[in-house]
Amino acid sequence: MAQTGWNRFAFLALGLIAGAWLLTGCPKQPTKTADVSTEQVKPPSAATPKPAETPAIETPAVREQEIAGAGKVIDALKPVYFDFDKSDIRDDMKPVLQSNAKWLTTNTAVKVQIEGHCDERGTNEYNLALGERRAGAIKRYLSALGVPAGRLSTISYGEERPVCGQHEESCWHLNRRGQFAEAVSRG
Amino acid sequence: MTGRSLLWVVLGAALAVAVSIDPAGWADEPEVFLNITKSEAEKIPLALFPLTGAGVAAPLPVEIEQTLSADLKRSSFFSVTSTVGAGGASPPTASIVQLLKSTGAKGAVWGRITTERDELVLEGRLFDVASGRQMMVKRYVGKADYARYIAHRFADDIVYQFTGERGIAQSRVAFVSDQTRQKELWLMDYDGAHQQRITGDRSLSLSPHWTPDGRWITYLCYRGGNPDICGIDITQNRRWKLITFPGLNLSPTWSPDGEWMALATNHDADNLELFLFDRSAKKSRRLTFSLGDDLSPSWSPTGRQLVFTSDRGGTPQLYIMDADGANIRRLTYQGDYNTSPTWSPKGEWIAYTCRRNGRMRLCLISPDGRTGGILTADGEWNDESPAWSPNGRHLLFTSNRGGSYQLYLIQKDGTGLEQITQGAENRIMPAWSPQ
Repeated sequence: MAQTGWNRFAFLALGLIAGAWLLTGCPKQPTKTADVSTEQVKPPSAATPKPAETPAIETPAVREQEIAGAGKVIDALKPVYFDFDKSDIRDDMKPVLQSNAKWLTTNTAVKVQIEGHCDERGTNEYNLALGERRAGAIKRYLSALGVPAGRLSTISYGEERPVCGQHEESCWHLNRRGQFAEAVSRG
Repeated sequence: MTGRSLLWVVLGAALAVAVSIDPAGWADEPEVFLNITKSEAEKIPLALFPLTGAGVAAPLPVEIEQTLSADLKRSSFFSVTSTVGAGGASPPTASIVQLLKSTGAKGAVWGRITTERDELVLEGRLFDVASGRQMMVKRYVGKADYARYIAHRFADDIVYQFTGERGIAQSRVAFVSDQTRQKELWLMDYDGAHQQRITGDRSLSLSPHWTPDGRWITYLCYRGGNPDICGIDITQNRRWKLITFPGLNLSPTWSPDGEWMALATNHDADNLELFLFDRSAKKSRRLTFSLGDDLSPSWSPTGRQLVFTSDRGGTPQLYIMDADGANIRRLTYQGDYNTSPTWSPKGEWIAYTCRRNGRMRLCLISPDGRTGGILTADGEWNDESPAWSPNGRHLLFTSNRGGSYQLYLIQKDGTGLEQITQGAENRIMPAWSPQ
């Protein structure tokens, strides 16, 4: 607290200087505007695009297909859960994948995008890699069970699309998942 | 000696005592990195006279002064003492400036705000206290809306006058925020002001990276239904896709000469490998061949080396290699989770995210691996995604220490922690503009 006192004193004393300066009148040093370099200040935002509400502007050569999100989740295919920082298929999840494989071998027209997800722990980019590994592990497992690999694509959402928002294990174990959506053709 | 100047001397002597006992300021800073903390005593003491305004709306001089003062403090070069009450309406004479000598101040800043044809004019002057000599005088002219930029410009000029180094007050930061529910790219001034959204992809946009010329931002975009690499030319509002391999395309970071983009993709392998692409994304070169994932590359300032994350050894660790993929060596051995490396602009440090006791922290390590340590304090939160300021003196990072994820600033010596953004929505993955 002693320091705070000193600070106050410093401010006060400097204030007195400024005050005295005012009282003693203006110093005789006229501003010679002509000698002073002048700079025009513009905000950098002059070079910044307006927020793009509409589909982003594309170069003409690139075709753009607006996709708000991923494909629709297929309810018949049950999600697969993973251990923290792991991408191998847990023993208790193998029956889930076996029943998913059975459904896929009877519904042969369906193309599936396997989504790999992570909980919020870990860094965003590394979690994208982890989600990709989880999706890949599911794809390999389903292929081994006879689902043609050509019907299975993968995508990682890392930690960016949680299903549960609390910051604790009760949510985290639900977010560490692989889920199944209808494959969307790429734009 | 006239009675008047005697008064000045007496006041000055009182101040000499008062100001030299500058509060240490960092005494309650919980953790200091490597004891390289710059003490307040080593900072250049600046006296900031209150800005005066003639014919301008009252808040403007205050806003400019606060912005200027915050810029100067944040630069880490100065300790700033402001005076209470009105400043002089005319520039101080040499003898008045010299009276500040006894306060310990090395420099004095004076400014006056007027209007000219609907524009704001800041006449800024900088004085050397020892000689009373004027070091600089400039007039900054701009619309009233640009008051903060006028202050930033003056602050950077003051930094340059004292240090010969370019200030960072005019730099900007790209980041990711979910304010519109979807994660989009946003842009803001380095101090958190003027936040504006720059993508409307309505899918998922992540990992912004600037080209060294500050014209493009490249990022990870999901708007085509796949994690691709997209680019925005922010000077022309032009957007395009650079890399669209099916699979995961990640972390597009530019070489210092702006010719090459290093990125991770699994289009050619079962796992993520690092590649170089030229600006047209036509020429490419594969850099890594490993069984683990290699990602998050960051260039050394010379462009000769890259540091990156790899889990080839079982856990995510940092590795360094030459820019042609040769001479790979592991850099980090402490802890089982070290990711998101970023090489400082001056080359002497690599900042990264390290996990300690189950929580994410910022760590620093020298490129030879000999020195390093934890930069951010322990607590029930996570610190992630370090990004260097253009002059390599500061880092911005993401932390949820206040609840939601927000952007925080810290000096590279672990001092000067400052929350830059606020809000219930998250703000993550900062990328600092090159200048």
